[in-house]
Amino acid sequence: MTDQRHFEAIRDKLFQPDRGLYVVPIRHHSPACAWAVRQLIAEVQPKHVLIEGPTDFTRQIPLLLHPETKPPVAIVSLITQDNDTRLAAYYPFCAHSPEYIALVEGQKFGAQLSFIDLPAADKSFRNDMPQDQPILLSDDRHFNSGDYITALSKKIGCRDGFELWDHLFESRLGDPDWKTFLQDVCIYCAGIRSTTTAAEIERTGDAAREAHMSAALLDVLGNGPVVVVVGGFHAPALIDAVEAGKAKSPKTSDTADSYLIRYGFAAMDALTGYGAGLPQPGYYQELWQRAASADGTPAWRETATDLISGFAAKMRADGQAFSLPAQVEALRAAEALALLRGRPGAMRHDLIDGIRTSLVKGEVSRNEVWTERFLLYLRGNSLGDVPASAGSPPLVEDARRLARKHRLDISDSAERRRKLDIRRNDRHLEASRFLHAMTLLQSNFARLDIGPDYLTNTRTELLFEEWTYNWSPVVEGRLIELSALGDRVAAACLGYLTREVARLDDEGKRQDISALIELFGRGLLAGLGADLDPFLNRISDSIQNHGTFGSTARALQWLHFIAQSAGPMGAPDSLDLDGVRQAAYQRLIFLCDDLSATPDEEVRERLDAIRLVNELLRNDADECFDRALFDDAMNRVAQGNVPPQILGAVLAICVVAGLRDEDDLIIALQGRFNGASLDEPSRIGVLEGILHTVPALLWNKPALLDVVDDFLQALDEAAFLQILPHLRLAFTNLNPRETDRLADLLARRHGGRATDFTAVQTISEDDLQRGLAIEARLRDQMQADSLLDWLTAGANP
Amino acid sequence: MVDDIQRAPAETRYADELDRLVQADTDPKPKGWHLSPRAVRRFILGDAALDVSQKFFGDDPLVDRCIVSLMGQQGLMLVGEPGTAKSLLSELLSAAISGTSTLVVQGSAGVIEDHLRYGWNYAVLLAEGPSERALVPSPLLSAMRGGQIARIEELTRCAPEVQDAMISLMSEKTIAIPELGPGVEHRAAPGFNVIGTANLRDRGVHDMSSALKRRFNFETVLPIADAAFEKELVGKQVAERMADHPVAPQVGQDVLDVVVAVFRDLRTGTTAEGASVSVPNSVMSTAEAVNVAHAAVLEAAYLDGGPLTGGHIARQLRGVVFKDDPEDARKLRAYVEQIAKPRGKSSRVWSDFYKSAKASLSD
Repeated sequence: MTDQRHFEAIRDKLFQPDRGLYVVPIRHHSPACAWAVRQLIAEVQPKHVLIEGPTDFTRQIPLLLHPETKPPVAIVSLITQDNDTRLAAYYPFCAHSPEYIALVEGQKFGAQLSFIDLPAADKSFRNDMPQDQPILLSDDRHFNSGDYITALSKKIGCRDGFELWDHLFESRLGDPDWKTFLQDVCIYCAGIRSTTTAAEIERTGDAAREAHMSAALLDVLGNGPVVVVVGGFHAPALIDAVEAGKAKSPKTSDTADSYLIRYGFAAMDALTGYGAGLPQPGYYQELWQRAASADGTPAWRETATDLISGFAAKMRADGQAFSLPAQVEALRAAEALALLRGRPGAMRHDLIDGIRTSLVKGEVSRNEVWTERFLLYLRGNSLGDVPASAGSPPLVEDARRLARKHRLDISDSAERRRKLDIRRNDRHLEASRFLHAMTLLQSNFARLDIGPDYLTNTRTELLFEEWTYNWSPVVEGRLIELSALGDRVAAACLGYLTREVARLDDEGKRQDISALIELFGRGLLAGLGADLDPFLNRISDSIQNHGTFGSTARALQWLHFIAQSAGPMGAPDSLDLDGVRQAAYQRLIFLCDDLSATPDEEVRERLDAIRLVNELLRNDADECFDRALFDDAMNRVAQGNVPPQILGAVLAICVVAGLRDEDDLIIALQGRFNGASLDEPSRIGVLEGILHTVPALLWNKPALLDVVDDFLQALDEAAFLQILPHLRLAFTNLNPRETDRLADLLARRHGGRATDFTAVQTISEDDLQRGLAIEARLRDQMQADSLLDWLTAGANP
Repeated sequence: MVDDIQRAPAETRYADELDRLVQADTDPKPKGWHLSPRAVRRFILGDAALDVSQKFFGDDPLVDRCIVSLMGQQGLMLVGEPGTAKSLLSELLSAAISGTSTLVVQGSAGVIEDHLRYGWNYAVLLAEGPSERALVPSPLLSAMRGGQIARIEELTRCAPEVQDAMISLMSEKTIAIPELGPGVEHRAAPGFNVIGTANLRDRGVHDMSSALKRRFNFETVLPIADAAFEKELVGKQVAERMADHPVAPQVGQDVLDVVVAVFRDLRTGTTAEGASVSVPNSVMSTAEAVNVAHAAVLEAAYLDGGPLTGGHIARQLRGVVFKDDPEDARKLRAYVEQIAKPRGKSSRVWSDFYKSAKASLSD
């Protein structure tokens, strides 16, 4: 077995006391590794402790070891890219990080402490990182994927690289034999490396980083014991370099600004998906503390018991209590699983499975609520602390930079005003977007005094926005709070919107399309543009899954409006507005078949929606939509048994589209006018539908008007009075010009002009006096009866 | 003779594998178990070294949890959509743990309490009076006596009062037989437990009471997540079903792709490209996909005498899956028009599917 010999050769060179060399292969945030590191340093008492981490972070070490610093903390580096955009890269530490322990222990023995990786600004860290992810300087994706991990997981019966790691190594936490432990980690990592090609190592930037680290190691080798703590994947490369006795350090880019910031388990856990060490840091912290207080292997049984009863207590406090037998069953299952899987005690996955086995009662989907609650509990909520001298985080810096870029004076906290010409001046539009973004974040930085409001569609004709702004400590505090959402203002806005959408879900408003659309609109105003893609998809999903006829029609209108907008509400081409618009249209066509079963209370809404769509299609000069689909659907609806108003509306559309003869409409009108009907108003339903959607038919198709006219003439006084309010309501759909036109036409039919029929009501001064007197008496009477509320109630609810 | 029956129980089908596992089993066994928990796991998830095939796919931790549940006081309840291999898993578990998977109660509206406890051989009862000889034990009673696993299929199809009988049975682990005299009862031997399967969402099923739920650990068997694997499985099962037929057209990979895509799209509500789809009420399980593909192959073989096309799939889809729910027909129409139609522009099979689906929908 050449592989085995190769692995053993590397293992045997890990510790070379005669040369003073101790290469320590670790996994980030692994308490078992941290334990071994602590033992090793105490035994070796090194002169130098070298750590895999950007070399420019060495100057942060005093701050990191400051008595006021409490992990979890992170060093964040602000990197300016070639295209002048800025990135933030993170290097998190928690109390059980091997790197942190190495620094703490190294300091105890007076060792020289330094980070030896390429500077944080070097591109090697970002070669393999998709643009849309937070950049991590302590990346260990190697541990989670790859052929070696997949094959070994399958062989041992673990579901993934995380479980495999826990199974093989975290289960040995507290092992006094640090040497064997680290040698095993080394062989494991050599296995991972052996399934990674040299080209891959080159491409991901690992080769350059390893060369830099090797050079730094060779520099100090020979001056007393050296402990070098690196991700296990890199250990073989360092050993090879020491064997060769030389390493060519690559040219390095400029350094970047870095800050020590408070960090939290929540933020750390969110980065797990990107390869930031082990998930649920709260759990590993717990293991670390138990190992520390036991000064050796933690009591597994006790740990499992405490975690499960701690979880039960937390759930009880949250109003999700579960019974004692369920706790017992969870613990029993977890322990039995650990036994089945060959572990010394119930570890993370056993506990998760135990909780799931015991608490789930019913059918669940992949994301099961008890598991998620337990994961959240294991994650923990610890927040670190940094000394006051540590500087400010990137989001704050970004907001300052943008404010200066948009010529907003933030040199002091005085309140200032700014008028922006958002329609004609692109720079002003940019500034407006920044101010909208800061408003979206509720930073208290700016408020809009005067300007168009596109979300409520008021005063959209305005060309200017007038803002008041001031930079205060309150703004800064709020931005630090929001730092978890993103490093830059745009990213934070996006994070904020994402959180709002999640909140909608929590409040059971998943289906609230208008709320989603409002968020999308606010994002557009804040200039998020192409980044809003997920929201657009979400809107599309909501429409597809939950859109009702009314809400889909409104959404369609709104999407159409945005697609045609330029300026503040303009959306970039990369947003597939057209696709979503088309999908909404398709959905609407699909929902047309619902019209036949329209409940009474929704008739109005649906009539409005039909008119909305009809107008949209009529004004659709660019032919974005396939009108024939809508007309066909209307025709299909007209064949069914539909409420009269809807029938009128769809028939009217069919007549205009040429799919139906006007006779059909006349038959429908007459059928309702003359039919047996339980309630009078429904007799004019069809007419109402026509007036709501295509009133022009009344004057373009004389036969139609004849029918209406005949019907009204045939009514006796009592029936007319009964139907009058409904007629009025129906005719309010006409605009004044249409009313005039119809009136004129009717007047001419009856021999005259519209003005001849205009009722002019004149009252004399006496009438007025008498009226006033009556009103005064009534008022007195009502006051006497204590009923004055009745008069004012409407005005003053 | 095995050849004379349609399907032998798991312990017969896999007798060789079970033998090898028993021989090699050195791990500790719970009382009453034929195999150690680790060997049970190997039986279900496969072991290359012992030439044991993998029989259940896609969720190894689920199998671990099931085994561990059966070691405890709680019963095991397998739930999930129809066609997700719940019964198969239940059969495999009991075959491996107890050496028999035949102690089954098949739940239905007609099941009465006697089927869960015991009945009588009335001829003997009339001739001799109540006696051990006249007693007809239920599969559950037999399992209790033998310290074995009893299986109850489709528990939620039993009437609530029959389900209730399970509650005391599960907690006391004993069945009293007062007819044989005071104090006569059968207490469960070690190794006894119950695996239930249930459908919680279908029409015509009863709710399970919380008291009964508390006595079971629930495991949801989910549809297969991996499309390529699902396709392989469908292909394999259709081939198995067609093995005895004299004529059988080739099932093209492209047609299988369409079957699996249609079922996955309509099951998950999202296409592979991310477009959303309205999910019908009909069950879109892998098992139904196999049924549709099988029916389509039969149609192509015996009625058309030609190769299997997307058109056969579409016609069978309407008949096999979308029975008579007009709402589902609408959803299928939307899918056909919005998803299948554009796909048809670049694929012959999809184009056939679209045409035939459209025709069958306008009937």
